[in-house]
Amino acid sequence: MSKRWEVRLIGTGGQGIVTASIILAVAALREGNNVVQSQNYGPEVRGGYSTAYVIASESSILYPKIDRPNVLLVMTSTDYEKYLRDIDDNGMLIMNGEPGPEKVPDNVYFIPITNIAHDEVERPITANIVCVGAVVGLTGMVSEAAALAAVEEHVPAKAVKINRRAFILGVRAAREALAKREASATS
Amino acid sequence: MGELHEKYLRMNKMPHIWCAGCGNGIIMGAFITAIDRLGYDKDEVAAVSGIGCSGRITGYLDFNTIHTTHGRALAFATGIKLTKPRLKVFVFMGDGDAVAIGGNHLIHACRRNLDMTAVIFNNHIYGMTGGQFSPTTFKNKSATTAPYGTTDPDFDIAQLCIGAGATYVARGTSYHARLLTDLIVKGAEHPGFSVIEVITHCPVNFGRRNNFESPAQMLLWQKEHGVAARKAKAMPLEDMEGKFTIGELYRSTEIPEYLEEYGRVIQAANEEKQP
Amino acid sequence: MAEAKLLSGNDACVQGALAAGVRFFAGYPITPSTEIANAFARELPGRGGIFMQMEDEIASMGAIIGASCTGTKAVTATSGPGFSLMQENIGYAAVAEIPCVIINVMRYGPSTGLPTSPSQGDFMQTRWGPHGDHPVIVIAPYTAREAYRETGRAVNLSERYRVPVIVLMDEILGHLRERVEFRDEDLVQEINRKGPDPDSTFLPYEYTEDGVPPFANFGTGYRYHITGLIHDETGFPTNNPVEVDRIMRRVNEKIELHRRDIARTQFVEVDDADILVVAFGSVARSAHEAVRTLRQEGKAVGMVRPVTVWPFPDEDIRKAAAGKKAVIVPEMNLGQMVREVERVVAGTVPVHALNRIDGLLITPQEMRDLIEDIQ
Repeated sequence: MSKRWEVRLIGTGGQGIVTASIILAVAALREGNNVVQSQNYGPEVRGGYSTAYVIASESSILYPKIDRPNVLLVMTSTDYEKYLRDIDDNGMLIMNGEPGPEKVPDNVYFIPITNIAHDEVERPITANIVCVGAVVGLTGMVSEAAALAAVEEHVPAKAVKINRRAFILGVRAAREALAKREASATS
Repeated sequence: MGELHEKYLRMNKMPHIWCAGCGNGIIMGAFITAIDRLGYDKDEVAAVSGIGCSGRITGYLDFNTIHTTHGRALAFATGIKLTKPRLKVFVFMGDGDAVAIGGNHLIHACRRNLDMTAVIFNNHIYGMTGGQFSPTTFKNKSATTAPYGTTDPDFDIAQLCIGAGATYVARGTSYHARLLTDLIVKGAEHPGFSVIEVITHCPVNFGRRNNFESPAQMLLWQKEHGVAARKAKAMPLEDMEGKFTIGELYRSTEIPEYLEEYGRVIQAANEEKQP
Repeated sequence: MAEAKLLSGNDACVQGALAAGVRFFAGYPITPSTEIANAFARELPGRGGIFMQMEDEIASMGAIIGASCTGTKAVTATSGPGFSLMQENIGYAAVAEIPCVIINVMRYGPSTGLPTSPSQGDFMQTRWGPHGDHPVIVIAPYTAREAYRETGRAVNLSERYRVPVIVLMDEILGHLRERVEFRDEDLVQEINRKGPDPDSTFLPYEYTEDGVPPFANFGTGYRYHITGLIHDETGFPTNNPVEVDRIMRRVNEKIELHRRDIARTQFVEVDDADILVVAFGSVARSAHEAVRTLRQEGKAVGMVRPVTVWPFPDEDIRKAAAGKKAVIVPEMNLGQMVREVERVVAGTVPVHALNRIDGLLITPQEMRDLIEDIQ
């Protein structure tokens, strides 16, 4: 990992965003990186605004906060324009949902995370794991193997299979989005 | 008694600070008599007290003693008992300690049912600070903070403790000293949290202001107003007006003692540790 | 021990305390320290320890003092509002010389404040919270790894010097999780309080060469008296002015006597620096980052970080600041530690405060901006 990854995940409380960030952090740690994971939440346990952060880097991490992430995933909105100014100039924005008809900037990706969890995994609760798959698939910040191992470690024993599926579907959706982007770039 | 004094009191700390005619010495006497009857090894007894006249008792008792902060004696005692359950823990508090500043700790100690014995010196006044009314001062009494008479209703400490879940509650007086010894013995033997409320007298800061001419008169008041619980049951309610029950008021062995219950937590934790 | 793991500051405190032999915790839930209670509740019962959720912070503090009287190493954890409630009993532990550790995970105050936002507003309260002159040791880690090691050290210092020790964290450090890889120097030793000498008469508050009297645990055959009243060496109350003066000087001076063992200060690129940053806790992470990047750009900037913040490292700061162009003291408060720094440098070097009180961490950029302004 030559890059310092600064990932921010935005969701509502109870969506499992913090767990998703911990999984990303553990995967990066297992690959030998320094990591800092943190979160902000409103005082409400469920339903409030929730943001989770992961910093991963080969060098030591002192300042633990992220001012302008290079990966921003938004679970709660499809209004990408609102979030573009929050990210680093070379950053990537991942929106939960289907893109509209207009052409979106090259650094913006739409992944229907909620729909995948709901319709394909058939367990809405796994949206956060789909989200891990999407981030890993789009960024390659950690290997899929390390991420999957971390997923399996952080979900209940009886739910490993379903979460593995959620992760794989997230990765697959990411790959499709990348392929589509490449195709439209070359056409 | 002299022999018991030598055995259980720190005689080099005498004379005590309590005023002539105070009830605290009687309670201390009843307590050491109870300890002698219980046959406890002095090294195995911890005496914990709060702040106020009653709080000074731990300075005189020859056990493991700790004079804590105002109202918090039960919290300190809880830490002692939990970490050395073998010790017999006695907690001495005044009415201000127990049901004003420390009221929260008292009700929670009752609820938990950790095996300790609380002895509450209820003299219906803040004595050490010079006669301010307390949560147990009766209505229309005179106190330095109630020069026109008290307006607040008073707490019934024993009933409060029963309501909060204490599993042994008794009330004695400094007049009925022998009964008090019996109640302390029974409270100590009870496996769980026991409360002995002691109606006692403060001649200097309560009596003088409230038409008691002497300490003896205050003791007589206790004699005349304390009705044995068994006898009170058979009495018409109106005859109990202004009086209070004495003796054993409540006892339950159905609620498990706290550390016994905590054993389940330890067991569960140990089972989880096994692969 | 060597395997890297993801550990939060709060969890690291618990691990460090357990390694130092802590077997009793009493507390009351409060953000952002609650995870510490949760972890002790999970860990203690399986290790022969007791976790106790008390009715409030006052009772929690009382319970750990009681537990310590039996010789059990005891900890509580809280945040601002609860820490305020604990002050009277912390003063009790200081004057009765009962070992105990209080972890204060600072949040924004006063009052309920911003429960989920960090602050360094308790810096002075940790030193001067209880009424009256009293000894206290305060240690402020800045990483999870250090939270482990320093909480262990806090337990040991409290045992060795019979003094309440406060571990001063904040919401950022408490809640972040980071890679921790323990090395040999992180190993927490178990140090126990000094007991009575069986061959001589036991005096519970004896004047000894090291200023620390032996402690007899309750139930070990030494019947003696503990009180929050000022007492003489026998442990019983006294108001004899000579005795009062004597014991209170000893109780306070024992910290100074052992300052070298208690102190811990980190120096980062100080020697050839023109500008010195003095920071503690999470803010020192930003400061350290600013120093690192400024050094890469060839700028002569250094940092001093008190790890033991009280007693304040007067000599370390004075020496480090000598001859510098300026000293910068960034804090997430309106300027508390800066007063100590000003006192120590006593006008020999200009001292600049950098304060933020919007509930956010001071950024490395803000420090760089100030440093560039000064240069």
